Amino acid sequence: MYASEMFGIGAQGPSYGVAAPTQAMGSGMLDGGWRSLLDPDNPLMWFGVVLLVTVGAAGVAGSIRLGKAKLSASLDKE
Amino acid sequence: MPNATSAAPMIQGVSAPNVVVAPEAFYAGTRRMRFQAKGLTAIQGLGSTESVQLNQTGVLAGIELRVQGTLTFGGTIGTTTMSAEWPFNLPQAVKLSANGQSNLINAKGLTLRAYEFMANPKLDDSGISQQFNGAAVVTGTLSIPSDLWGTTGGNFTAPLTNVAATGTYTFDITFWVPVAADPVYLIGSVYAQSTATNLSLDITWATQNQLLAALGGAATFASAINWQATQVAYSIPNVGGRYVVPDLSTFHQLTDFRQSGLGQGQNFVPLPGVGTGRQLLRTWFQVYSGATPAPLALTATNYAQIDWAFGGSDTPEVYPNGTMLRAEQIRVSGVDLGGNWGIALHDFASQFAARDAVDEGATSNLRHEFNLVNAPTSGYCIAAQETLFAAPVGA
Repeated sequence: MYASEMFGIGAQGPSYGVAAPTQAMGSGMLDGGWRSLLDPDNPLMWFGVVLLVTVGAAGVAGSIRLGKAKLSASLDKE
Repeated sequence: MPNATSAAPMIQGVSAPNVVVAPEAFYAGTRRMRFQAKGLTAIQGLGSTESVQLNQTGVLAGIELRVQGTLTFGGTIGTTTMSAEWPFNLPQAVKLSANGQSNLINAKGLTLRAYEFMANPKLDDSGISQQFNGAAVVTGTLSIPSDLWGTTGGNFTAPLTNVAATGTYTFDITFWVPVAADPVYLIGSVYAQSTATNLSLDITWATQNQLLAALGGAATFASAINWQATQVAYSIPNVGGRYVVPDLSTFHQLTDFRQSGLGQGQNFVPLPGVGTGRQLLRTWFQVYSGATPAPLALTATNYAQIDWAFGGSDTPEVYPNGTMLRAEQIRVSGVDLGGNWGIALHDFASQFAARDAVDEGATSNLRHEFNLVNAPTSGYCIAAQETLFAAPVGA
């Protein structure tokens, strides 16, 4: 037990030079709402990656044959 | 290259090599000690001053004083009356200086006894019969059962009371000198484990004129008074190769002072020594009035508004009259401080000091304010204050 705890002498008040907890909490929620979609720890980010790859693959066709070599690619099926 | 002669850490201005502040380790490892600082010794006489150098051991938490002896009245007793200074103010001034701080304690015996009742809720004077102002009183005397205020046969020496007959009156009273502000965590105690520590206790005894309001014209008076002192300290344990101490970053101070010139109506009593870095824990006052000065009972009859104030007119706590404050301090301290001894207390420490204690750095011109209903006769005030302040070099 210290004098500051028991009698308040020399106790340090809160520092108002840094963000108060409520402010920090507010800005953190905003960041979390949008930027967290790019967070590698967020499963939604990986779901999005897989989705983009799948849809993208539908518009890209290609084949590789290793016998008599044939390599073809298409960017547009029309 | 490291400095091989770097200074040892300082605690309360005293070099303390290999000592670290670790309260929890200290509490677990220390041992309470109680040892004699002064054996039972006759004082030189009333009005004299006794000094003793205390032992340089451990962490000093407090000192127990015992004063005992006899008052002998001879001849024809006539009108012989004890003053209000008897018995508690037989020690008129108990002074403790330590580690370069003079007057950590500078208080009368009554101040010490009243403080003990304020700070120690285990003490209770209810049911202890004493004579006060010529009558038997069973509460609010600030007496403890081991007190002997002066008796011979069925007669007494008691405050503001006539001495009924000649004889040899035996008395025996103890006082607690509160070096630490808190007896549990030892906040405010003194680091004494050093030959560089200077601990001195000085006691100035009351004069005969202070103790006796009147001595019969054909009466004689003699006294034989002894005193002894015991230190209560805690050993400094060695834990893991380092000596550990509790938080010794503050000193505890209890002082009283006198202000005369009181009058009917509003009175102001500024507290001396107010300053930044000080925390006010308790402050109180008594008003004495009369040709034989007697404390004014803390009642609505004697007191209108009582408050404490600072700055221009900031008055955080206002009591409409003496009775209201008297009741409040009974609730807080459990003892009737105001009924007989007329003590008016503002207690910032008993309930929750970390919340209630007054930061003197933010309360300039800190003062008592009280309104006396009637004009006092040669009125004067004895006021006391208990503070914590930062030690010169914190631990």
